[in-house]
Amino acid sequence: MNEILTITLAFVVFTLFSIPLFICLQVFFPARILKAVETATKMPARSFLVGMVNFIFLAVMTFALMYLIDRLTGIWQGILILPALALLGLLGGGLSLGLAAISGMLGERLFPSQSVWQRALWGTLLLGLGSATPFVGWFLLFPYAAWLGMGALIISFFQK
Amino acid sequence: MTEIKPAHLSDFLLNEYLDDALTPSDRISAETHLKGCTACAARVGAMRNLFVELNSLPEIAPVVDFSARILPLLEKNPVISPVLRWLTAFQLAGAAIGLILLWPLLEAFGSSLFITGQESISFFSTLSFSWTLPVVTWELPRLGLDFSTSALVFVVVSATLMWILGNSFLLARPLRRIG
Repeated sequence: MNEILTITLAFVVFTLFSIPLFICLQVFFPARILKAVETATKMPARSFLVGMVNFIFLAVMTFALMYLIDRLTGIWQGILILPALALLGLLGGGLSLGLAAISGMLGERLFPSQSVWQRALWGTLLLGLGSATPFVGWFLLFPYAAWLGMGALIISFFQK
Repeated sequence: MTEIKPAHLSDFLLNEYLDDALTPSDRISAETHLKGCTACAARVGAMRNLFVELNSLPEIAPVVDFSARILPLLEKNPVISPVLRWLTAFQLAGAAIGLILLWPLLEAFGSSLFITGQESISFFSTLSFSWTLPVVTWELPRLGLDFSTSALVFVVVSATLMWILGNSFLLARPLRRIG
């Protein structure tokens, strides 16, 4: 029971920290996020699959590098930490921008008349608190939103 | 001193009058003038008829539609010169190589920095006071896991294959134009 409460609380705290982050991302990368939102709306299945494939690859590679770093010492540790950090950065950046796009999409659909930051605020709150729901939110809603957003972001870079 | 007013209203004023763009006071004075001036009233009438006639004309589609070619150009981001792009790439690569080469030096410097809180620096004792540095230590997070090499290679190879095949299937197929 305590574990369920801890994870739910972690999601709530994560949501509170994500609100200003996603608003900042909406302000700094409006065109990229808009394109990702359009991609997620027009081709959700492909976006989800692309996000899943790339997330798993980046996560596995980062994990493998961290595992090797754990085992090595000296200069090899230093050499391997750079690609590990780069992959971690890619993963974090992709997930953040993707989730910012999905929260923006939620806000746009539910509160179309409000300003960008208000839409991001309500969208993030809804997505974060929905993801805090035990099991359904943790294992279904959050991975779906994260992979959908990440995939839409990746596809938006390849569209002509 | 009496104000000298022009005999007739100008075309600009009449156009503004028809567009309902005059201030209330200008509009009242224009209407007063039009009531007493048949020439200006006739010009306003002619202008009004002309606008009505123009509005009633059918819209003709242009023979050549440039929008399909121009709109994508407007959507494009500002062009960055290829030289600048290559320069940035080289700079990034150079910085990465430099960091790798500098790592042993940084490590040596870092090890001299790792002083426990109980130690004092003798240099400061010559200045008749001592200073205790705060503990500065940093360690990589330890995963504490134990995998066999073959299991790790299997997982990495599987993930890479899935990534290559998945992306080539999902991204190489033509993507619909959006927006």
